[in-house]
Amino acid sequence: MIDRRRFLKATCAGLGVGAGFASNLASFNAFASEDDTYKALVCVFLYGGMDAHDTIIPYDQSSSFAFERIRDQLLSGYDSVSPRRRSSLLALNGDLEGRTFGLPTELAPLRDLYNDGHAAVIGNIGPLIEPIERTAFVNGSGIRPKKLFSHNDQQSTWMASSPEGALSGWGGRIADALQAASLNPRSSFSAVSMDLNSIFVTGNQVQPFVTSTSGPPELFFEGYHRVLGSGEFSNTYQNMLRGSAGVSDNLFMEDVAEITKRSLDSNTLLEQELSSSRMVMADFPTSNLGGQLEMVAKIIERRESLGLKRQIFFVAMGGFDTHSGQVTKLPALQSELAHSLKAFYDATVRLGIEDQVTTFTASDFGRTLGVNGDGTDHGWGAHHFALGGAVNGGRVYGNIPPPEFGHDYDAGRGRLIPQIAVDQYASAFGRWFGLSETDLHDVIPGLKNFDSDVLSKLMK
Amino acid sequence: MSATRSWVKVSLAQVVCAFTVACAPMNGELPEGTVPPDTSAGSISEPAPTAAPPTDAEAGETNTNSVHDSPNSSQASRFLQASTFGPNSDSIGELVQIGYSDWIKSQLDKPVVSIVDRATPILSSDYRANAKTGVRTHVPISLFYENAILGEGQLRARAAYSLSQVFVVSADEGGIYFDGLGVSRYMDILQEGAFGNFRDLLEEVTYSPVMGEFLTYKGNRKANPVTGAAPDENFAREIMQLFTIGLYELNLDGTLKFDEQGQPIETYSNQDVLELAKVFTGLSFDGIPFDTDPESILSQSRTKRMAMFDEHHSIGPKTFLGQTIPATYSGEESIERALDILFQHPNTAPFISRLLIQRLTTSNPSPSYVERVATAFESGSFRLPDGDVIGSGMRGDLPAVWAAILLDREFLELSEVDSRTFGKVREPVLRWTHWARAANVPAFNALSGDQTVDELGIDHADQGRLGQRAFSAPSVFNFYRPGYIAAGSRTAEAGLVAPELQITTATSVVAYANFMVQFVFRDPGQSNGSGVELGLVGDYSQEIEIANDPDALIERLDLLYTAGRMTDDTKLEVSRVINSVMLEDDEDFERLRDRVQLAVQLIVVSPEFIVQQ
Repeated sequence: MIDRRRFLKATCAGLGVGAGFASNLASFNAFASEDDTYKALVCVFLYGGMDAHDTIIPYDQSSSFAFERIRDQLLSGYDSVSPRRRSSLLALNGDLEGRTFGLPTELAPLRDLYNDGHAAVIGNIGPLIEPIERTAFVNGSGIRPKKLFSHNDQQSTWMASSPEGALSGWGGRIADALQAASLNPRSSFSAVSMDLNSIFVTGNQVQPFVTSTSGPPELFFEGYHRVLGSGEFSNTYQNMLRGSAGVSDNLFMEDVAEITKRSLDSNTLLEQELSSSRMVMADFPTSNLGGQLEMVAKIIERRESLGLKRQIFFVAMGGFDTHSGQVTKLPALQSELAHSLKAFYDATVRLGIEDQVTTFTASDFGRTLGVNGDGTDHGWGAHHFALGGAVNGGRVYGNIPPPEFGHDYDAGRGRLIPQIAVDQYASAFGRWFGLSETDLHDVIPGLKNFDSDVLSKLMK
Repeated sequence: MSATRSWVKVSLAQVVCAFTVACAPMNGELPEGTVPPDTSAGSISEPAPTAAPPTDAEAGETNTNSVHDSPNSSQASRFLQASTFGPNSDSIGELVQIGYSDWIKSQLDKPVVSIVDRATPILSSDYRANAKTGVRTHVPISLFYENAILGEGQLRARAAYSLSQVFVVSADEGGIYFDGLGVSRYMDILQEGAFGNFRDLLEEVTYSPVMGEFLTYKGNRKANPVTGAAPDENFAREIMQLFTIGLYELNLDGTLKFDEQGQPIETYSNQDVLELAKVFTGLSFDGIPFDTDPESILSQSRTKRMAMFDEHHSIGPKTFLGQTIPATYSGEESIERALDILFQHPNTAPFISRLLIQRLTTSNPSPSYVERVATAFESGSFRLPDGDVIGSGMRGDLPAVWAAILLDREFLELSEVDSRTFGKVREPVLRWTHWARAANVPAFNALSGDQTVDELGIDHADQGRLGQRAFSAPSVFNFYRPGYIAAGSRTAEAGLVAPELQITTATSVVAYANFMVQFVFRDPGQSNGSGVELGLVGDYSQEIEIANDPDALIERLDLLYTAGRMTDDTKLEVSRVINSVMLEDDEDFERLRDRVQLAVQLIVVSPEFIVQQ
């Protein structure tokens, strides 16, 4: 069943996207030519800003003590619904200079993937223009991303490097590069969104194909077959939908007709592919995210007949904007996330392509370490997961700042100043996809401001 | 005409503010989210070439009301697409007869049809109890659609609906999902406020428990130095970003102001958010202890303004946007002062004006159009084409704003040049209500408990259905963003935003067509699978009368559904289908009805219907 509540309290389907700025496609020619095995990237976006402090939780005695003091109000609330004090956490292997970390029990499937080496934690990542620390942040001398702490703008910044109104996302630009390199003869499905028209998968050339958990819908002719047995109406109807009835003098009408036409063509093609699928997807949870990832798996299963060597997917779940009621809202969300991700990983194993599919999480921002009563407020840096057979898992990349205020990466109230830029995250996946350094810098222009080594071992 | 309102004549000088603000070189560009001109993303910071403002022939004299007052029927139909939930033959006839000015005045006299009054008898029992569906917000949403389709006060209803996409709350949100009474009251706040003053509306919205729940400041406490807990920042941020001033400083015409470095100027900092967050502390349900578990709240508290609990309100001064609210102020006084500061901010008139123009007439108003509407906002009055002036003369008068939007020459006197870029994609809710009104669905009672209620209240937001449900946006950022640009589209090439295209996808285009099929082809007496007779049946009797004459039928449908803008090619296609339905004779009502239904279905999926030009 589809979860009809959609994204309860989702933050913003709303991202500006736009027509492309001119991009020099001639530079997108440097794929490692021998690397023509199929690969897919799956972005799991957590709308609303997932509280990273309540995800990767301090576990060693002294950090745990400091954390529990600051978060006492929330932890007391958790005691009766989802205990999150030290004794209830699931320990992660490894440590950061003696500090260790645990996950809440709802994330048990992710803990297993992590400890088995199939998932990694990327600590304190977020949008950055250049490296910056607290002093420069506070005195204003460092350059910071625009419109920090604002949902729609930080979603856009994560996906497209600039606030709402951005024109293309890095996933879409990677897809542009693939198209230029002729890796994907049919581009309709090279970028697929299970949410709305996400800017992440919008390129300068590539438009995302948007579909839903129930797959491409078919036009419904029931009402008029009784009227017209012949295809007369059906043909005219489709022509009308495609706007082929006439040339309009209005740009909005032209857009409506063009989008409809493209949609009908892609829907038909995908429907044919899915109906010939032999794959049984029994193990996905019935949650909305589970349904989205199940559809992604089904599309991936058709990769050969779709003629695709590279695909980028966007799936999303909402509800993470836990200003209040965090202890009742977050556990269910994290449980849905972890079980869906695990089911998806298992599906790629069944398809024998777990080394060719990499999934990663992203979110508007992290949240304050300080509590506002029964929730937390908008932050900046956060910790995320990357998983798949190609990920060097079982370890934490980057840093997880200590649970205290006033350290070098505290922007106030425990809003973390990121130490790894989204651009570095993006480039790790771009390299794995086979983009050359030149292409990478075209796709992710901000990369030049960072030392790229920090995530160089993330992907095998 | 009713004379219950006084139409004060004031001099033109009072109506029009001086147009002295320099116009930045950005045209039709969204204030917030605009890409600064120094970035690589140059294509949308170019002036939109075809959206040039009409020249002020009468420069110096800004008579905004030089439009004529007597529409023909096509013009009337087009006007009613923008100002109501859809034209029908009666409303077109009325408007042609009385003209724009009298129509506006007549609509301003229509009373509020209270949703709370009707919802209360069936919702006043236990919070979660609803034997029928278990989802009590179905009730107000059904009543909203009933009023949209059948109500006399169309302008008020459409205005309130437009405001619901600025002051967004969502019945899909967990804490509101069951609060049918709260949502009912919220709808009434918007209906009442639609013809009042923006400042009053802002206050009612701020004190609404539904907004308090949605943006999580209900039960918000002052900082606790022991635990380190700080006030919730959610509402403080969104009331500035979305409800009043926006992110960047604006000129009166909605274009961006720039600093010496050519950068847009941010209206507020995070420090301003932290300070304003202190203002919105201490509010909770009235009549019960602070921050009581919402599920135990009695119904009467859900329809009242939230109360201020001063013991939970932040002590000390609050300094934001360069102004300080003294520590001596009580909680309510602090809120009053904060709302005044936001209301008086120079951004508020252009920011709100542009959003409301986008909801009614066009996605890309020219700066001069925005400026004329913002001027009406600031002066609180507007001169109608017949010379009467409406509005209280107080800043923020919303009737003046609606009139200024709908009677602007940029909308009413669309030139050939502008017709290429003017207009908007209509969202699914408006397409559906337009069909229901144009098809003259018979009066129904949304609370009758029959199938109609389910059809009105169910989750149309699902992409597999209509794709949108009123009062159920996915977040406070509404169904779509005002600055959305559809990548790779013709509008994007021309530098135009197209908000509604954000929810136009490969799934939604098919789902919309299929959704409409279920209604367009519904016959009287038709039952659902459980044997319940279906409501919302189109009454095509007037169309059936002329359906033996394809040209006459098409002409009528063109007027009702596409404001006389159907292309010849579309007419040809429709005509071909009509002619393919052979008639036994002129009394062959079943076949005549088939002709009408087929023609209507073709038209409601045509770009001329989906787009309002």
